[in-house]
Amino acid sequence: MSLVLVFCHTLFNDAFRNYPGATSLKLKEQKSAQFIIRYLIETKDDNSKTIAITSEQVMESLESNFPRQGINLNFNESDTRFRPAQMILALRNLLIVVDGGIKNIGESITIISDIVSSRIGTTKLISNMSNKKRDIIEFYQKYSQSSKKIKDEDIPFEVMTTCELEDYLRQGNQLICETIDKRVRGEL
Amino acid sequence: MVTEKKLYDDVQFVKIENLKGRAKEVAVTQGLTNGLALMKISINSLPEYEITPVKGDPLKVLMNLAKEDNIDLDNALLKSFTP
Repeated sequence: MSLVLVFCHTLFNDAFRNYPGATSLKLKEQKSAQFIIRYLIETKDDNSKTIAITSEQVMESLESNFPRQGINLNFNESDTRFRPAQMILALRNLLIVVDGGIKNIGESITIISDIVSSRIGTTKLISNMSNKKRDIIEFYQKYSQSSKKIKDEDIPFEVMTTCELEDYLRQGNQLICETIDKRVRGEL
Repeated sequence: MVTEKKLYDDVQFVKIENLKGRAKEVAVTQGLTNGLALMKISINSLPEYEITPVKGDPLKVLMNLAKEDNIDLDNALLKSFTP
């Protein structure tokens, strides 16, 4: 059965940003976010049953602050080409980027998780935001047509932190995880 | 002399053993048969492939891509996701 991972912006933020004076929890979250990116790199070309998704809204937010690369010859505007920076291109290629249909970054991720969970495999929304679950419940409550109070068990997908996902992946994919660890130690 | 910075239309991590066609030919001429690599593609008329084997941590390769483009990651990410 396919494992569908839907990533919120915290994965990219935690993996690539340095947090001055970070707590041990934040450092753990950073290490696990980095592990997940490494896992995507290691498995994306191997017919893996893991599908990683993020929203166009998350990627756009990321891209908007990465300078666009281009040739600008000035004399002919139609020859001007602009492209996202190389790192963004490489990151985009690790994921399926889907338009969540709404500008709000957080809500776009919830919408994608809801849609995906209705179709394939096991869906897990990955976020290091401490109040993510509460936000999701509020989202369902806001748009629910009934007056029923939304509870944790009404959410059709699981919400995990990067640390929880790392533990989950390490339990089920030991060989891949050993390869990742070897690469980090420079043995591969 | 001003050298123009090379632009890539696509950048992706690949497993060399899974490559096909012209990309595989490029890898073979470099003596590469398997392992993780970074493939940069530039499209003019016929795609050009530049394949660099990844040794060690691929995350460092990603961060080096940002460096090549003069991106201050901390600053860019902070701005990206600050509401």
